[in-house]
Amino acid sequence: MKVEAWIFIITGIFLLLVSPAYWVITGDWTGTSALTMATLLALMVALYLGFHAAKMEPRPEDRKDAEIADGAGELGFFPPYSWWPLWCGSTLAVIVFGTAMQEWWLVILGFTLGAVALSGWIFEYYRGEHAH
Amino acid sequence: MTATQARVGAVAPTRKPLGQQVVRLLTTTDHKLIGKLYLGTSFAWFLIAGLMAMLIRSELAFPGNQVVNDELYNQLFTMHGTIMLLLFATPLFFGFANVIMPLQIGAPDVAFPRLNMFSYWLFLFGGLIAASGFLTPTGAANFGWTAYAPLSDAVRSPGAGGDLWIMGLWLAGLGTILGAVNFITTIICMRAPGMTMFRMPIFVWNTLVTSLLVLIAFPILAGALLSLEADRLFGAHVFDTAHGGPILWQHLFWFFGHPEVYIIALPFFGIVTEILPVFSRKPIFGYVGLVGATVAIALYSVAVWAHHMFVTGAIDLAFFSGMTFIIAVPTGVKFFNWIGTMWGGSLSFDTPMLWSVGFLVTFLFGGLTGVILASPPLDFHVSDSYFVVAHFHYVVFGTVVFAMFAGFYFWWPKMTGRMLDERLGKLHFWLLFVGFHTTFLVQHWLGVEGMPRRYADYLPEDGFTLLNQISTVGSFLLAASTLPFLYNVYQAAKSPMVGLDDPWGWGRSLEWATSSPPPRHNFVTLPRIRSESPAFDLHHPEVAAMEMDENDAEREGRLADAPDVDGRQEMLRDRINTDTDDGEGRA
Amino acid sequence: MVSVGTIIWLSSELMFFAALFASYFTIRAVSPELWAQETEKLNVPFATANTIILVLSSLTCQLGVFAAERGQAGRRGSLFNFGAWGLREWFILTYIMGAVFIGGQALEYAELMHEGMTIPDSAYGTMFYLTTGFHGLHVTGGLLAFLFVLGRTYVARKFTHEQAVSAIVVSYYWHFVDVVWIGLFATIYLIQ
Repeated sequence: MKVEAWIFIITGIFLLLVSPAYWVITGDWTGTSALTMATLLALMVALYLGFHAAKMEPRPEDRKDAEIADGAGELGFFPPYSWWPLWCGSTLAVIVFGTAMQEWWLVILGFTLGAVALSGWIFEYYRGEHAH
Repeated sequence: MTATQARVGAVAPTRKPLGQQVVRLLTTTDHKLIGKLYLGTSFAWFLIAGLMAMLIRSELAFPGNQVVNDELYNQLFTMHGTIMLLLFATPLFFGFANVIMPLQIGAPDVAFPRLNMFSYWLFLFGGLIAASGFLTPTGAANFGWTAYAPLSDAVRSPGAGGDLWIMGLWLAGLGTILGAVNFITTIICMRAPGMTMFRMPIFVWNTLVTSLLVLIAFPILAGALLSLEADRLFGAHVFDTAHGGPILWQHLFWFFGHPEVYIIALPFFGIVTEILPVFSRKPIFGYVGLVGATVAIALYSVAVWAHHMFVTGAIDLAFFSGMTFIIAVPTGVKFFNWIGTMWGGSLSFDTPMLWSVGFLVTFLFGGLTGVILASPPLDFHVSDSYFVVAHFHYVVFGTVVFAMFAGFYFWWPKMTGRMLDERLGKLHFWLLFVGFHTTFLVQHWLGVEGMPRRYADYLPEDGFTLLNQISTVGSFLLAASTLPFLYNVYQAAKSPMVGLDDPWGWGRSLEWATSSPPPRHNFVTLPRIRSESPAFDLHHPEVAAMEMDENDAEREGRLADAPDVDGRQEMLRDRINTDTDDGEGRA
Repeated sequence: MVSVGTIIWLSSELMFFAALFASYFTIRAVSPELWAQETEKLNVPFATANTIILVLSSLTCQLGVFAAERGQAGRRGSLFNFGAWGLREWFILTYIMGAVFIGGQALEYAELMHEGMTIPDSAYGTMFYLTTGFHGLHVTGGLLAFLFVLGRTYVARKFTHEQAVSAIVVSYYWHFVDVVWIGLFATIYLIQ
């Protein structure tokens, strides 16, 4: 995970140099704020990945001599199919459309149905045959 | 739209009833199918915005108003730009990255499959909302894809079209951000064992770096769009002229807008980088250099945004001009490496290669005019003229469209299991190549002569007529080139399956080591990974061993501009020895 | 994997707030008189108290995460034996503190509107309500997330690793929103 962390570290260092330089040269608040926050973005991810890279053993994908079998076991959870992304996406679209058209009843409707859709997504593998 | 999607992909070996196929499309979590949905939908947007461009070119063929009125013209160029950049080029990246990237790193899917589908829906619905302004009485947004304040406020651009544009793009942008999060997580967490970072194909590297740019750029757009909407809906004062709001908008918009240019360029550089070695029969030249150049371009692209604002007089010319000149250096490194990959290779001009070379030529022109525009004194003369229109079409069309078709022809057998026809592909290429350059080359001169962009009309005395007519004829040729492609797609759907892992014979990266199309979770078995070209090592160990023999520094692990190849030689030796017995994996 | 994705997504959220901060500072730099006049209406002691509640809620949230990492969903002792609290008790307390923060903000809004500070009133009102409002929406989203994590612990009979992970990523989000608030608080109330 070290190389991954380094990408964000390099980004952070670059922005750490550019942001103050930009402020000194231009005195522009807009660009300086944006660059400063971009610096924090890079450093935040760099810190997280770097911390974990230092703490753990190199994973099979970090090792040059790893065999395919080294990665055996459960990799993650892959739902075979799901209706919920469609429902969540379409209710969010209703909210957005209602806002643009200033039809606030649509926004309220969207939030109500959206709450149901989001619950459906969150509890998809906690209900019915998946209950545990 | 469903018809397009069904055509582009989803041709299952055994035909299922229509209802089941629709349900499968609506509920899928398979990255390959989601990728095809992205590709099909964004290609449909490409056709729609292309038709808008033909209306625009028709209007400009003669002085005076013939085809559309001024208001509709404004709506057309606004939506043409918006759709091409945000609903075609950007999601096209998501299409290719979704289909190809997990295959190239040996992953069974992306990190969050349901989130992946959610991102697609946000893109689809956001795009439909943004374009639905055409159905309102006052029409779609008409303030240009840059939506400069104060033109885009509620007084100067009343009507729901602008609101739908803003909120629709916000929704699509949210989908883009979530998609980028998904890709970065996938690349960090789901590579196959042995697939170290410096063994990843360049396309995967570019996907990673592009996603990083999305994280930096798109939320800024989201914040700016919502502020603009607050101005329009609630009478907020974010972009008021009283306190320099217009410049504030331009800063925020271009802080997003310039990285966006690289968001739609870098992945397509990646596609071309994948194709060149395969049809040059040589490994990629300067692997580490290409990775470094990609990272450098991405970083500099965050600090050059105000070169779009030279003529405002409100920014520091030296800082942004200097930064912009510097960015030409890593781009030059890429060109050097692309040429180096082809240099001395055994080239064959199959359609993917043809499109890639077309990209190199076209993008080079656009890059050179870019250097001209980076110089403020020159920019002052041609800013907001057709010179700029020509420049960005060379850059963006050159990368996105040429590399898109290169990718389509290259990966079509991997995505669908069937080849596209080579002769139709070559007809398609030459029609498009000639059409494109006829349309846009003359626009450089139009701009230098002073024709401003975004004007619906010009006078006969201006002397713009002839060049405009050449451009319009070219644009119709360009549009006509799509017909052989569509016919090719139709014909390919009926052609026999290739039945091979690697129909091109010299495929290098991991996607060529699984069946075409791949199974649900991509791989039945994975080969051992000891270089950036595991499929090539599997299929042609003796050629790979020869490549190793020719590069001492790479082989001995000394300082070399090459990927990680520790253990590759031993693996190849083993494979050659066992291969003589069974001849497995020969193309 | 889920936590890596969450951190990356949160980092992009920083850029959303970057757009708001950029607008705030830019407009502030050109309208110092407006700022001098409008910031007098702010009730700094009240906002400070509200901030302290939000910061403390990050602490209780983290104690909930420690319980989740122990695999402890519910409390092991009486309700007043804090040492024996599980994930549920700590998260419910965090939820209440977050809700108090939102309520306090609503109260503050009402007060300021009473004094004539609204979005259309001036650029200061615009930026004040946009920055704190979008932050408030994020806090509300976090409250919703706490409900979902709690819901999962009640729906499932067993406390799984996945539930612990969702508690952890929600805590990341909560800390993030908290830190953004500290930045906003310093910008709006301290630097003014």
